[in-house]
Amino acid sequence: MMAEVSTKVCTVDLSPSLRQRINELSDLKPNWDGEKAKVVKTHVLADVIELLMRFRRRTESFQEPFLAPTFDGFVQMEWHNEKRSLEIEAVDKGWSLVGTITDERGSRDYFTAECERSDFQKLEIFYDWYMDIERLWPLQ
Amino acid sequence: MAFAVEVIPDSDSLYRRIHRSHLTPEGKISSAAFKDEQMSVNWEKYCDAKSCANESSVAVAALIAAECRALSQTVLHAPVEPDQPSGPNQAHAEVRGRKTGAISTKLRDKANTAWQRQ
Repeated sequence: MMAEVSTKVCTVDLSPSLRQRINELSDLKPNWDGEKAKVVKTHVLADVIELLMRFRRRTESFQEPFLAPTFDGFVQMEWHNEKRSLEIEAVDKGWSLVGTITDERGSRDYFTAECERSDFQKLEIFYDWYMDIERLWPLQ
Repeated sequence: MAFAVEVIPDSDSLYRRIHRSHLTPEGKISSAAFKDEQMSVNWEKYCDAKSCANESSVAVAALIAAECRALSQTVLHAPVEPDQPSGPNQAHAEVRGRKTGAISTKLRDKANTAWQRQ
């Protein structure tokens, strides 16, 4: 119960729709997909909120992501625009990232990276890549 | 009598039901729907797309078996017998393999929406 309260209090700087989405994820029941999916881990949701709050504090033009639960109790953040996409998935050892660039002909390139859970500076650089502030996919 | 386990041809479609939490407000399917290492699908030989949906599904995506295999996945027919949970389901199959890195994103990009709830 204490963990649940802490995640809800910490989301006050996020938009109502994102707060609602976070609550929806925290309310998922075991086997929510009918195929044995696990509930979202509270500490993972707290880490996602911490990261989003950092992103939001950093820039006025912060775009809120779509949040998707994974079957093993983790969460994936997703940003999509016409040219680029960025997915940041919480995993056991930190974060797993996938970026895509789609060219004018519809051909798509895929990029991957991994980050430690507390490496917020590196994650900010990947977000800047999605926003086209960084031109090249950041090297590890 | 048990269902025969068959080889799924490369050209056949596999239907993956999409849970409502995996569809963005813009109608895009999340790659999170394709991360399960033993990903359940239904083979088109024994079902149609709409019949694969359940009450929590908002869509059914179709994958081509060959495209899954090209991403280092194993496609296996795994029918569910009448005396097993969720059985019988002769169409049941699995796309097995690790889906780390960009694999689940590529599966999502290869998938076509075969049915969507109105």
